[in-house]
Amino acid sequence: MSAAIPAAARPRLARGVRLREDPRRGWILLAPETVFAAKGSAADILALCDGTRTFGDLVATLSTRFCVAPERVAADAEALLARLRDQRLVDL
Amino acid sequence: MTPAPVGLLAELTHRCPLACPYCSNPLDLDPKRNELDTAAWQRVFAEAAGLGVLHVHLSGGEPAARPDLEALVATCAANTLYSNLITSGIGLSPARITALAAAGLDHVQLSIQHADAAPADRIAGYRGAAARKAEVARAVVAAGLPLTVNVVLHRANLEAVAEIAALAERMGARRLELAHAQYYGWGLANRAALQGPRAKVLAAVREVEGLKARYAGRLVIDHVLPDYFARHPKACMGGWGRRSLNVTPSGKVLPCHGAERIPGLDVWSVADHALGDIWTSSPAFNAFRGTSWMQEPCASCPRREVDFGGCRCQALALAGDARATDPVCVYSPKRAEIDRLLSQEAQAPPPYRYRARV
Repeated sequence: MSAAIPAAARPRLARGVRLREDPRRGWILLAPETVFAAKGSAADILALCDGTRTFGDLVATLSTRFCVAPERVAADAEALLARLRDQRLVDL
Repeated sequence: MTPAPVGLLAELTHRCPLACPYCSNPLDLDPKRNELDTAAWQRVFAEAAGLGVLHVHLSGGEPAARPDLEALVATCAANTLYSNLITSGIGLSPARITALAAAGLDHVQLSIQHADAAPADRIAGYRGAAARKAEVARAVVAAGLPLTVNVVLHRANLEAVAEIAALAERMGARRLELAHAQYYGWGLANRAALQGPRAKVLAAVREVEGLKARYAGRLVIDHVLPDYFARHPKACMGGWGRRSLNVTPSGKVLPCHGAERIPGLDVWSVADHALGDIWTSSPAFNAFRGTSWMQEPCASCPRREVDFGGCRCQALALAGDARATDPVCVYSPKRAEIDRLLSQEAQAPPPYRYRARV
């Protein structure tokens, strides 16, 4: 459970999991029977989980876009994606 | 200002081929001739999206009994509503499942009754149901749709939870919902047949908690606890008129499944009002919204915004007053009534009173 995510993994939102911007609630992740607020960097991370991009590329992209150390982006993304993977909402 | 609702339960029909004794539909079922037509449901969904609803739960009865199900799914998708099909599976051919997926269906929640076919069919009151459901699960997974398996737990399947979890995983489900029976509608009429002996209920609760850990990362298990055994009531519907709307087959809009049973509740219909007006202004939604309607011990309770006094329908059924504290609560003066019901463990359960067919 919650093991580190390899740089070569290609995270993808599972079918039935949708990221969308809601006019009242901001960015949200819709999933079976539940909805999560995608706060802070979460929406940026999830928007890149398209099943083609690698985790390493995702980290590099966001690190450049927001001028944040890659270690910090990786820690945030790993915590988020590991939690969603354990809930079967993200496939790696 | 009233916050926007998150979910809408669309009871498209009360017709169902199954006759499960714990069915949450009311005892007075809507006949087919009273059902909203396609255009009326499409208007409801468009208004729901405008109101801020995110999830639409297409339910029944059996929603597949409606030949316009595909069109209704497409309307949800066109309004960026997340569509969840809550089905017995009966009436869903592989071709229909493919068509629903193409129309934009987001998720399927398939009910099963037991891990073994014979008791499953007996509970459902439908011969061959279990075999049909296995075929439906295969078609759902083949269509690429995410599958949740949903099981109501009661006396006849409490001891099969491990086999049920194994079956759900074999079916390809990502989620398994294990919900202990709640006693409303047909469930209340069948309480004596459904309620398991205390020791077995508590053993099943422990076993499911163990299964959650064992299946972690493979099958997510949601466990809805048996509320008669709780110390505090459930926050029914997340609070009255706070998160959800329930539209009946004939278009009445309720804060929950059972609300029609509450006497004196002025329920509005989508035939007469826009959904947004019903949400904010209908007397039924405002009757128990917030905390100002509460009596003691709820009114001064520190938990009043945690569980919102519990369930109004249960308060009515067991305490005789929809404004009373849910009698499940340890602070309720009527808690003894729950304990009395729990102590009445039928030695031999009575036969099921199967749900009526319409």
